[in-house]
This record gives sequence, structure tokens and C-alpha cells, in this order.
Amino acid sequence: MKAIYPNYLSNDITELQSDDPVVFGRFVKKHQKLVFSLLGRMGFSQADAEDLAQDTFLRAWNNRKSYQPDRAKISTWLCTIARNVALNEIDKKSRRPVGSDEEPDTVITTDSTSSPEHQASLQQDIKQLNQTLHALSAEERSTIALHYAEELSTRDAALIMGCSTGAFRTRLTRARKKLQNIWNSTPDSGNSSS
Amino acid sequence: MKKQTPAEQKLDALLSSSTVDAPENFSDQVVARISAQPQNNVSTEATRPISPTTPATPIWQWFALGTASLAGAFQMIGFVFGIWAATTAG
Repeated sequence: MKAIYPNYLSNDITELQSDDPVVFGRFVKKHQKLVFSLLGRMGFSQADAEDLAQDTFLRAWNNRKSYQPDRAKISTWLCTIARNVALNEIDKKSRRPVGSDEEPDTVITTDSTSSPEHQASLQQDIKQLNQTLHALSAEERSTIALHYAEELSTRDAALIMGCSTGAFRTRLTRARKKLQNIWNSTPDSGNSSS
Repeated sequence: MKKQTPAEQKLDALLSSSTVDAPENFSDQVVARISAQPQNNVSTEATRPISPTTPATPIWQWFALGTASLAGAFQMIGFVFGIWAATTAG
């Protein structure tokens, strides 16, 4: 029996599985925010996130016909690709000699109404956050990123990680604890007790 | 539930906000990369079911079969000639 999907979902599937790159471009526009937010929360700089997001959508294009709506939501499928692309990149970077992949400063697009001091402070915070995230393992980074992704439920995140919901929660608790410990130990974290 | 420290609240707020953003022309960049790919329909080729017919046998396999058959034939001729030579001798 053919499954019936709501209109917005059926549009997404049509755009994804179209053979016209321009139509696929509309799909990219709809889902780019999700992919970027996931990569950003994994501690990637703006430049790296752009490259990895492009690779993610290129892979999605090349495998678009293999997407099965009955098995997973489009966002879950796309995040699985983005996570794999990100894990490959982390693995590649870990093999490079130390110092050869210095993270460039993240360019953050903040709204123009905020003061320069506020923007500078935000830049500093994000730089520090990225450094803290880099102290975690790739698995821990992706666990944290999936948890904070707005469009994903715990069940979706567990599906992407290939584990049960319970196992995902356990991994998340451990990763968050480790992240908080590292964050609290940094001097500019805003922790008055340190 | 454990109360969060100000540092942890700050960390939570940072993680809840997006630290990187897609550039305005991002989708165009993706479309350009797709168009620059050598084959646009890679996936259709890749996902096509494998045909149940036997794949074509490479030429070197036929060559090996011919050589082995020839060697086998010479062995047989040698064996028959040996018997003939032994029975007709003396």
C-alpha cells in the first residue's frame, strides 16, 4: 500500500528526489539551517562548516534516490549524512600533524544593532566554546550537537547515533558532564567560583 | 534537579544559539557544485538493481581455459603413445 504523506513532506521528497539541481537547490535552502547548526555545535569554524555542509548536500544529492520516507524523516536522514561527514573530517584532522590545522577565528553574523563590545564578547565566548568542544571526542561532540538541534527529538537523535533512546540519554549525560567540567575550569567561562 | 551555575547557564545559552550561519548564496554554491559533477545521475546508476544475468567473462579467462585444455590434450596423447610404444616394442 502506498503511504500518504502530508503536503509539506511530499514537497520535500519531490524536491529531494528531483533530477533537476535547481529544484534540489530549493531543498537545500529549506534544510541548510539545520545542517549548519549541527556543524556549528560540533565546534566547526564558519569556513569548515561551509565546506562540510556543501559535502553533506552533495552526498544527499548523490544518494537522493536511496532515501526511504518510511524509514526516517528527511531531517534525520540529512543529519545522519552531516554527522558522518563531520566525523570523517574530525578523523582526518586528528591524523594531521599538530599545529597544521589551526582553527581560524569564527566569523559570527550577529545583528547589526548589538554593540561592538557585545559582539567582541560573543566572539570570545564562541571561540572558547569551540575550544571546549574540541577537548571532547567526536562521538561526544555529535551527541551534544544532536541534543541541541531544534528539529530533532531524542528518538531521532538516537536513530542518527545508531543506538537506543536510553543509550543516547546516558551518552548525553556523560558528554554534558565532561563538557561542563572543562567549561567550568576555563578562566573566562563566567563561573564566579573559579 | 540540580541548579545550574552561571557558567553552565552561559554554556547552555551558547549551545542553544547557532554559532555558524549559511551564507546567502549557499544553495547556489551547492547547485553549482552539483552541475560541475561529471555525472548528474550517479544515484540512478548506483541504485539500479543488479541484473540477474551472468556477467561477461573476461578474455584472460578464455585464454587460461584454452591453454589448460591444450596441455590436457597433450597429456592424453602422451599417455596413449606410451601404451602403444610399450605394447608394440619387441
